[in-house]
Amino acid sequence: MIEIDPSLPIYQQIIDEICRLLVRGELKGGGQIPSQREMAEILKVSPNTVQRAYRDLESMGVVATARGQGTFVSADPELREDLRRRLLAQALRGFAQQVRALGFAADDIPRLVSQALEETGAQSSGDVSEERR
Amino acid sequence: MLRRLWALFRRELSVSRPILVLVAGLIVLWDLFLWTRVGKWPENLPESLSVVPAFIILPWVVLASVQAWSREWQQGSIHYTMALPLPGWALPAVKGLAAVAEAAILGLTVTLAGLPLYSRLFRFGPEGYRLALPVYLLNGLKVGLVLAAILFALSLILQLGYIVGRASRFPALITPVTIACGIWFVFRVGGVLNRFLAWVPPIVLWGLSAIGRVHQFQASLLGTSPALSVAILGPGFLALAGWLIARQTDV
Amino acid sequence: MLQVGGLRKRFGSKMALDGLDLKLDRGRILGLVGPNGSGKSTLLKVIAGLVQPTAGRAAILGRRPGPQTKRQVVYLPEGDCLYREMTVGGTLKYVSTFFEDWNQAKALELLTFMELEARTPIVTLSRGMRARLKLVLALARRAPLVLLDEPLSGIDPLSRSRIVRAIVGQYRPEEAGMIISTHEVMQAEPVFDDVVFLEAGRIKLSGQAEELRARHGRSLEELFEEVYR
Repeated sequence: MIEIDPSLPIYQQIIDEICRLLVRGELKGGGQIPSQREMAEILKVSPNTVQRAYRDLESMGVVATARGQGTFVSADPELREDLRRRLLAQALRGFAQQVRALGFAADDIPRLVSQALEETGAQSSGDVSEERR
Repeated sequence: MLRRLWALFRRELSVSRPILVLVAGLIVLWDLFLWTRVGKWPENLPESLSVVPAFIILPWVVLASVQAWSREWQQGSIHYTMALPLPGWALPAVKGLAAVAEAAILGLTVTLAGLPLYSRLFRFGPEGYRLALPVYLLNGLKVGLVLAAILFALSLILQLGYIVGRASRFPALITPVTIACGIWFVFRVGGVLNRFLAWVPPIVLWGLSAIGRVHQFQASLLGTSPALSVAILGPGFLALAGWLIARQTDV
Repeated sequence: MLQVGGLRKRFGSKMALDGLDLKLDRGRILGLVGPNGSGKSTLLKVIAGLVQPTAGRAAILGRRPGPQTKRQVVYLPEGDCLYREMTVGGTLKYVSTFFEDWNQAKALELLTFMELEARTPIVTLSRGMRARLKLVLALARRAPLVLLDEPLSGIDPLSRSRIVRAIVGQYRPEEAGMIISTHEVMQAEPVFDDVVFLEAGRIKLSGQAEELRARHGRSLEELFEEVYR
């Protein structure tokens, strides 16, 4: 499921991945995710790390735990949209940083983006049709 | 607690079982061999030789006591054994008892397997003066208990010597020195205790002897005070070994 | 619930532990990492009550290491430590006699998970199977403090992740604290809440795992390489 990169805080990676899965639709709104214990075992990480991630996810409103029943993903479509925008903003910030770090001028960016979109075009249209199905 | 001590005891015995069975088997074979030599060899020789295997008992206790520990270190199981929630005295006590129990088994084997042979040594004497078998067995039991107490104390001294040697820089030197000190200590303190315990009645062993042509029953007396002093020192050594294991041993 | 203060241990002329201070709370998994000879095993042995410190003190739930604390500590020694004359089942039975917190059902479940059979004599077990049996013996008990000394060594690389999964799966944060000592940092590091880097009996670096990752921007394994260059 999730590839843990040990060079970054793990709890953050769990949070990011759950959000990503929700945005991509792989996790349906209202669907159940593994309990903290199960998650810790599947990922082979400390239960405390999972606990921290779940706590943050709950405070973000992404998940909610019903006592004795399990942990469920929010079905709120606004939340999903909100997360989508947030993840995009995150990606864009990362992109902007990389562009600057590589020394490109701000003017070059639109051209570079179009180029990249074209190159990944065949791939992404494939992905979108997968989702629609 | 008792259940745990029993589990420890059973384990100690099960480790020695193969060799114990082998040695016991050899004793039986020896007696069978001697039985075939009766009439062929000089008179009373095969019968007397049937008692010879008894001399294996002391070396056995010595080896068993030391090996009970050296084996654990060799295997690496010492780490597990020392992590068990036991008071310090439990391990030396059980290992000592196991060594003595094995010695008892060998002693019994010698006694029973050789019985047809050495009982022939007591052939002489008219009908009414033959001692019944139970009397011999009772003698054997009394001697056996005294020996068991002495062997237990010996086992503890040996175990102590090994453990102290192991914890020191020169085990090859320290171990024999510790054992020698232990034995010296037993004689010294035993001698002192003797005087205090002189009032204890001696152990009576019944035997048959012949003076000239007159047969009579005779009681041999086995001084109890030396045995008692050893029996008292035994727990002393046990406590020392326990303290040492709990406080000083590094595994 | 575990407190170690000013711990020193001398073996002959060598200082295996040279002034260690450590604290472990219930519910935390501590990774004890360092090269061979850094004092990891010695530290665990002191806590387990196998070795007496030259100076300093260790307290498990307030008590010094001794027969009482041994009841509350699960200790998995490194290397060969099994009883060679026994079978797998015999070893389980023997060990279970000494500990009240032994869970027989769990032990059998773990035995199956580790692909071991009760009838097998210990002497015929391969190194990897012996390592797995040691883990069964450790995880079948429920104790407040679990000490695993190199639990992954001897286990083939393919099985290691399964073993880590078993360790995480059996762990009860509400009840226990765990110390895992290893020099296989890569496989085990996601499991650590806290980590301590030892060198020559002293703590070179310590902290919460996630915090160290964020601060240094690298994995604990990479940090390990750096710390011990």
